[in-house]
Amino acid sequence: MTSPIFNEIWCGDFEFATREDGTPEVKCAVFTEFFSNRTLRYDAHALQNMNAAPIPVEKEDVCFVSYYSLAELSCFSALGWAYPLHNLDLFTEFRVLTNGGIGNGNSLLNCLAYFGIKGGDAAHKESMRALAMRQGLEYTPAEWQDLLEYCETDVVALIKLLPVMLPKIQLEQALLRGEYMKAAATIERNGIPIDYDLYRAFLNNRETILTALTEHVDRDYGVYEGATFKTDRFQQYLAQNGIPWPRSATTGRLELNDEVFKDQAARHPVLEPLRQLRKTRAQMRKIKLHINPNDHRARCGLSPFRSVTGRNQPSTNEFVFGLPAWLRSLIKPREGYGVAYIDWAQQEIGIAAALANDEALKHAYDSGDPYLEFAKQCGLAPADATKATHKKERDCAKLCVLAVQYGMGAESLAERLNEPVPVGKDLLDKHRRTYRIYYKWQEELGNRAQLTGSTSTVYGWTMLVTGATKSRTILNFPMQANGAEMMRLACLYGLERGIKICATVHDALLIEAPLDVFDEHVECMREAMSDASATLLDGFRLRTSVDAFRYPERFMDERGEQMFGKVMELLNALPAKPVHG
Amino acid sequence: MSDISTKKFNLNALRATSKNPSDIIVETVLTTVAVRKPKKGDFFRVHPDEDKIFDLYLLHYGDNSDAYVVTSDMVPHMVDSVKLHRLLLCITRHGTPFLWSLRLPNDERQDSWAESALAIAEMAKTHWVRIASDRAGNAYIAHRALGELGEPEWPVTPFEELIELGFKNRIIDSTDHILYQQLQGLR
Repeated sequence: MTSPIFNEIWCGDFEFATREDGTPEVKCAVFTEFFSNRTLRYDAHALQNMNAAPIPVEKEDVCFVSYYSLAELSCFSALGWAYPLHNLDLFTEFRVLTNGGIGNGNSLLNCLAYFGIKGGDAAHKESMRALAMRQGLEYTPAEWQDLLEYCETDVVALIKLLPVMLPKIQLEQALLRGEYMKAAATIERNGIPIDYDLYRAFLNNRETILTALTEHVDRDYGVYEGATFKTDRFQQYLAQNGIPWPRSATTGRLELNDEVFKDQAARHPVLEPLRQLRKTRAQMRKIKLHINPNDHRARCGLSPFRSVTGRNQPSTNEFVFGLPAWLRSLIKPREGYGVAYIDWAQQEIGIAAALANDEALKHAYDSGDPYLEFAKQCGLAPADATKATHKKERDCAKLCVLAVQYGMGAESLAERLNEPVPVGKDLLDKHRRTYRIYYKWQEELGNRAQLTGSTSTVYGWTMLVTGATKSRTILNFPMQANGAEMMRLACLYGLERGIKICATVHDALLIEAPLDVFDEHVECMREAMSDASATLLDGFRLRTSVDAFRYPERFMDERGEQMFGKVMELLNALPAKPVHG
Repeated sequence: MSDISTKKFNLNALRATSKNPSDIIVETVLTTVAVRKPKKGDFFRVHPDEDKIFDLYLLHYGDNSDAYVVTSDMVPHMVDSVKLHRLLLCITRHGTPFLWSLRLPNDERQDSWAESALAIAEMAKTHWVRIASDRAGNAYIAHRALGELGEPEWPVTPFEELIELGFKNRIIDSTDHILYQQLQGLR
């Protein structure tokens, strides 16, 4: 695309309520054309009679502008309208300008305040939002008028914001982000197929499940007293099993948040069931999937561009992939369909290798087993070693590669290897020497970020670097944020090739297809993901792996398989409520 | 969805930056360079170029046996205290440069320590080596790394500057120098 020239720019806003199933119920819409100041106002009744948008947003020389366009695009979709051809979202661009800095939020009012533009009254906005959120279309004429006027204030704000923000926006990149918002709206609308009966059974019996599950899992640990996790008992368990545990520097108490548990469970897999139980106990009462009882699909706001790296950040309690691993087995394709979970293999290593243009690291990635290849490259294993012949050396190299990714020092690595510190130091030295070009690139990247005050992805997603930004965050940003770019591109490629994408999960996608074309669609999506990596990384292709589940199979995450089996056993033992797994 | 399309974007032209952020260049600046023998445990290399070798007279003085450069016009005044050395640019496996002040052999008698050190320095121009003392044999011995360890990345700082960094404040260039005066019993 050469620099687009728009003859019409339509700023628009919708008011809507979110139904229990996650879909929007549109109340009204206002559109104002930027150059002519022509304004169109429609209430729900008028909108329902339109089979296409009343503004010419499908034209090549017309751009649609909104704030957090995912909401507007969902309304387009709910009304059966085609998406705008060019979509500029001032929310994503405000995020690009302020991401990582000391901000006060990303709402339209915050954005207006940031640019010194007088916005509306926050209290009035809240009351109007409450009015719009009321279910149904039963409003008095005065209320309709209020809703339209309120809707128009946001459009007026957009008209003021646009000329102020435009000089700071890289328009073509912004439109690419806008294109992804269309993809996100489509993915949200597609939703995830859920075993609705099982979900209802879980909800109806959650206290029974929690009690029985706690009793069952805790047999191996003895750290619960009824429903209470007892820290002193856990401390005792750790001592008996010789497991070191991080403590708070200030209070000296055991650190018990999920991040620490996750890390510790990775080091000591025996702790994984306990971690899953704690996560289940913490989340089970808060689970709130929005499932349409007619199509049995869970829909959840993907919250694109909300995280610092630009990845989606859906609510953990409303998104089935945010729940404990065993609950992912609620995902079940409907009859005649299959779902596939496709993720990039070792995405971070691949991105680092390509961006740094380190041939040794690229070679390691291309080998298909970067851990074994590193063992060979640094002399830990001979050139003809295989995973079977040199398992110990490969495991050692793997720990080292992961240690580098997590920013671990020689001492932590040595502890994981169960070796003296010089062994950890030697391994890290080996990594540094083997991938010298990667380290040089990383050092330059850190210098650049510190000197310019920001760091960006290939397609311009930016993080501001301040005195408070940790060095580790800066160095990790290219891998994570370009991973997010890759995901966005893959979604666009997949959707334009006719694939039904149901969810994005960090470095993975969930797709659905009828069984007669299932394999074909899986291959098509893998190709789209490979193409996305090649586009982003200047020709370097990342591999993907697939977990496929064909009806009547359900989704299964190996980390949760055992616990899911136990819950099913518990449910089936309940009187008069049999559930079939 | 037919209305989602990447075709209207030239994704190659949209790249924000070059892959390598080399438009902002930061160089490593050395503020000090050690003048010493290679450490017992360190594998090191010697720069193979002739112009990275410099012969000079050194005086070793003090508890740490610090090396002082004695300029050529001062050598006749201190002939009993100075020895001819060869400075070699070296680098460790960890990438730390240093100057090896290698005492040159005495022509008047066999000097197996100096001769063996010179031989090891020659070897270190093409191989990663580690030096050790063989007291029984009165000589240094070399442990040569057998693996393919790759070539060192030499500092870009000119050799003359490295020498200046190595000997800053430790140059005896006149009879006013405190060390000269102490050695002559003038202070």
